[in-house]
Amino acid sequence: MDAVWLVRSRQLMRRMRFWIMIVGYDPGDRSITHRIYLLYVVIFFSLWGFVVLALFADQVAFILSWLVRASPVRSAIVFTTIILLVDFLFQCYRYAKRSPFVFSEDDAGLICLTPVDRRQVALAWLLGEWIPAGLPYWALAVTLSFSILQLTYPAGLIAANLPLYLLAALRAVSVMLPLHLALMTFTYIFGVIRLRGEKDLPYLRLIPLGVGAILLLLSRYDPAFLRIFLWPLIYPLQAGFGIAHWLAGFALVFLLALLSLLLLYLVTPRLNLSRASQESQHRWEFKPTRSVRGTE
Amino acid sequence: MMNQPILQVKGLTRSFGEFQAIKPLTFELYAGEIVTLGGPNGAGKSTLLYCLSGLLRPTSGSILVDGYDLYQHECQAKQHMAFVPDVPRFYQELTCWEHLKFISLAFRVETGWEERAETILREFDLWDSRNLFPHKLSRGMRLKLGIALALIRPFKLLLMDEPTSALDPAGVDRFIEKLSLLRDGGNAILLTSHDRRLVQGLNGKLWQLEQGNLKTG
Repeated sequence: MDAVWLVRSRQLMRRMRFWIMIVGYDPGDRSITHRIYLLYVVIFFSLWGFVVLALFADQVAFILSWLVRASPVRSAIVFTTIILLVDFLFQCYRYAKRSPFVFSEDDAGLICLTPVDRRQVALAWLLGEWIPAGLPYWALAVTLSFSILQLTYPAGLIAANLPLYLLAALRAVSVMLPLHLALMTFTYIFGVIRLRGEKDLPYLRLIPLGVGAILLLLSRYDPAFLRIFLWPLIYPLQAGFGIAHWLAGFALVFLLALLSLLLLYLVTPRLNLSRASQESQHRWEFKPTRSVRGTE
Repeated sequence: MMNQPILQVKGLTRSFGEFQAIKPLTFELYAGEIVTLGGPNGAGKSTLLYCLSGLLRPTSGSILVDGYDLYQHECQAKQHMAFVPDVPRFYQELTCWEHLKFISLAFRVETGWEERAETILREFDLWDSRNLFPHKLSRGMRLKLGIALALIRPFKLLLMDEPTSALDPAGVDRFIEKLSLLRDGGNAILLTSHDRRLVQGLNGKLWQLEQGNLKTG
């Protein structure tokens, strides 16, 4: 096994173990009854999540029905697009100032002092953070898909509609998962560009601000062009919320995710782990660490 | 002596706000050299080693390891370097043996590392503790493991911060022998220590760092 994945897989397993211990499962106990208990916990929390999101969906459906200018589906797509874009630009801005990779002190003293393949480090750390970072978006996608169904079927979540709800949730999540991965990877690429070698590139943080301003102006003066510009984001969401062909939307977003991962792979060989780890651990001295080769 | 220095430091400074912990330093270290860095507490010895290892970015100046700039060509520079901090860090998730495996793989030593790991662990009396997690070890054993992690990799430059601070007298003697062998093998070694026995035993150069100023005489 590669050195990076040896460490990262253990770290992620420890993180997972923490969560399953919180629900009373002891990973050291390998008895059948204990495993049945784990199965029970998984089913219980899946149902609990489903019910909670359905409850939220009631409120969201109420809000969507108030937005009279567009159909509820279109409102849901616009809302999701705005949330994704704002988060994307905000993360790009953050990563233009500090490392997207957060290393512990142990990482700083061990893996960051070795010549491990930087591409593997980038992938391992990205994928490790993807699930916790993506959870709110997956929940949002499911909630909005439920809300749209609430408005389409006034009977709401009754037993007869359960398969429809499950299908809508799956459809929305299947698109949101790779879409969020693609956007998150692009923000990491942005951060990695700054962390290559020793250059600081302070102008990078102006890019997300500039893009944000252009998007705002386009939304005001040329919404048609904005829709074309954002098509790779909007079309998969349309597919996820059931007003475009699912397979086409999924294929598009899957390709986007692959492309983003490929780009990350291409830009990371010169990722400077010393800088990344110092920005994770020594934020208080981040400003001095940025200036190198200058004179005091 | 080889022509190209293993470690080349030019105009290195490090400040913490207004306080300049390291004043402009320029020095070189060649293959087969052992330098012990002395000086009072707070003189900047650990800060200097942290800068040289890549754990702390200097405020100005450059560090070249075997000709590679530590920040421009980070991987190549780190390929030739090992650092043992005064308090070595370990992963809670890996046993002592797995740490050695991790470092070997990280330095692309994919074959024969097991034999080397066994030899090193036996030399440092850690063989029986190989399947323990580092947080179960005593302070001295953790320091020995930190040294073992440095020694298992191929390196040309070895940096050590107070490496004998938690070693027993027998451990110090073995450590002196080990370092002498490494020096004879053509490695450059820079360490900080207040241990007179170590300084005398190594018979290398003694530099002093005082208030961020280096005296190499």
